[in-house]
Amino acid sequence: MKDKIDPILTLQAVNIRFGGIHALKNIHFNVKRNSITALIGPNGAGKTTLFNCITGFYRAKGKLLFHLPEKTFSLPKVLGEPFHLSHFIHPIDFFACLYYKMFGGSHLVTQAGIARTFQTIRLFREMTVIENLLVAQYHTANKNLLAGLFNLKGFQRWEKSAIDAAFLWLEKFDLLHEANRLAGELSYRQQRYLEIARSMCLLPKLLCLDEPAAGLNKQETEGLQILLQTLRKEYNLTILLIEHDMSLVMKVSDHIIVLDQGSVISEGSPKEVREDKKVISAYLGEKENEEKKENE
Amino acid sequence: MKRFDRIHILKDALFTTLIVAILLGPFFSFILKGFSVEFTGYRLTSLVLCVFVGRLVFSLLLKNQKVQHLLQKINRSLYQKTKVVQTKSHRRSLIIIAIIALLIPFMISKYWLSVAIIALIYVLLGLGLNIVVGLAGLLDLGYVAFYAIGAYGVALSAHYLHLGFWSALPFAALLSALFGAILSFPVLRMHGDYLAIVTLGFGEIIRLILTNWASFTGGPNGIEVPDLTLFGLEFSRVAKQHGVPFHEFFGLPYDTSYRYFFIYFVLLVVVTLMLRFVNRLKQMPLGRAWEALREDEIACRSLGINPVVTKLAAFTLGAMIGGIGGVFFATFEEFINPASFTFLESALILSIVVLGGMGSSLGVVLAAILLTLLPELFRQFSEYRMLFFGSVMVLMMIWRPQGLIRMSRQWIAPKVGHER
Repeated sequence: MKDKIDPILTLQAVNIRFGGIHALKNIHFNVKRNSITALIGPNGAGKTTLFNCITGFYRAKGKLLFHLPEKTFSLPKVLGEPFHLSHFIHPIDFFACLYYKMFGGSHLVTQAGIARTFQTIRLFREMTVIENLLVAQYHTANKNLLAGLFNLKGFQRWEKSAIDAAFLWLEKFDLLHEANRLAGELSYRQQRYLEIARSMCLLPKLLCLDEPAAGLNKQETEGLQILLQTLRKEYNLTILLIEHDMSLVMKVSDHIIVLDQGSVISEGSPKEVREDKKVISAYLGEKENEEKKENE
Repeated sequence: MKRFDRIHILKDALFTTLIVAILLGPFFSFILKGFSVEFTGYRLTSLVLCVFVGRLVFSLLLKNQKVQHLLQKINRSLYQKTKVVQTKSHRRSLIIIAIIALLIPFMISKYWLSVAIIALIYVLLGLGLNIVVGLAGLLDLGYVAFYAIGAYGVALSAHYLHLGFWSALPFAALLSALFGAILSFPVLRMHGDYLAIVTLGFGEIIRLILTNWASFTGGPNGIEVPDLTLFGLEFSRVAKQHGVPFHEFFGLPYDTSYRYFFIYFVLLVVVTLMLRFVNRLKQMPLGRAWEALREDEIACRSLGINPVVTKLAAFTLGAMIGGIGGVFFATFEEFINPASFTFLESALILSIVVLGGMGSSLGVVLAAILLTLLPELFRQFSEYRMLFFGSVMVLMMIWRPQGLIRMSRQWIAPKVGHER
């Protein structure tokens, strides 16, 4: 199956529980490389929970594999999974597990190439726009303390390239004039864009957007749609997005996964999903009239 | 002014006077004399008159255009937003400050020189804690622990390893950095208040160990600290460390102030270096990561920043600077005991950071100097010192929560070759 569709992300039997609540039940799906995949579902379906599992903020049970051309990452391992019996037989595995338990975490998932944005905007509001983008390039930074303190050549080279890259992204997202304003002062659309620009600074392979169009008006949503498509084309990016704006989802996505009450109830192309009876009853409502209204 | 306004002001003044007369009148006018109560009318009338005229003048002033402008200006400066400033060359003001700092010891008495030295030590401590609290946003209430480790580092290394001041300085700095890393590693997953409580505990643990491990540290009796030397020249009357006394070498009469001068200048150099160090840090990826961590830790994790390691770096560097402060404190005092490293000291350093402005180096320097000079200037009111500190803190939190000098952001221009 893997050979057929070339997935960038594979989820197999992913489960997560919060106390008595079984938030995600046995999730299976693949995200195709270089596609725009939308994750939809009614409120409380577990979309954001699933996102948090994929980006390493929650530790889920099951298999989450992130396929890069050169390597395959197992996300639970990077997050510091509990010890298995097999770890005690292989000393290298044991120490790797111990290492990830101490220093592992979601930052390793990001460094592997999964970037995300948040449902509520999480910018560094008291820092300038350009500084926000510089923080995002931390993992490529010249971290030699002495080089930075004495402003050596190597550090200057990094600084120049980082600032250049940051300005390039600002230009792409039409924020060039706001470069030295505080991020908290920007308009809502600009803050949304800045958050996407900030995660693009990480040069991810998979970009997870959590409701990027929330709070945007119709024109701005159209702008966002064009932006997402150009990003995918130019940077060979895979985009996974949660969205409630059906017009955006239907236009932009190649593949839609529908979640309801913690399990996948349907997946396929926009057309297939639109016509799926289960989806209509779970998500768009029981009556046919309402369904039409939603789709328009 | 309109007629309505005038009537309103008059009404307001009358009403205020009435309230004051009702509330304070009995206290002012009835005086207990022996077993009888005496009514003194003139006190009541003077009180009423004062309040009435005062209120009238106050309201009239508030109505004045110029006064209103002034108030608005003050208000604006109080609630100003964070500024983004282009880095200018402050060379001229820096040179002036440097000249003043170099000339000060020659103009003041020995007593005030010792106050200046203590002020510089607090500048150092403030800069160190500013990294932890101001930049990384980790509330550390046990910072005095690292100060103590620095001080005891120099004393114990002289006692057991026979190190002189100059070799003990880096040793003690590294020691406190190491302790900073060890102590903070287990607690860095905590946030806010919990972190503050745990660090408070660590501060006390260090002090209690120093007090109770008497066989190693000398316990409450304290321990002697070696004096510092200048290329082997000592500053005591007779040589104690197999060197030559400074005054003998230069053929000068003995004077204890040579030692003060020397400590002052060495400290000045160290403080300058640390200021530069902290200012560079703010423009480095590490410093930006600290600030980002202070703003939003979850966003930081989503950007590939390891919060644990980054916080660890903040604690370690902060502890190192605190340790250096401790080394100078110990050397200056020549004798230390655990009583110098109580929680009150932590609170003082923290109030330096808060008063100065979180993250602002200039503010911290200013606050450190103020908070060491003012208690000396008002020695006769020393009983009310804590009351004063407390009320200043409360007032600051109400009117200027960002501190004396608000941290400004650096303006970053596109590098040449990429402007549009």
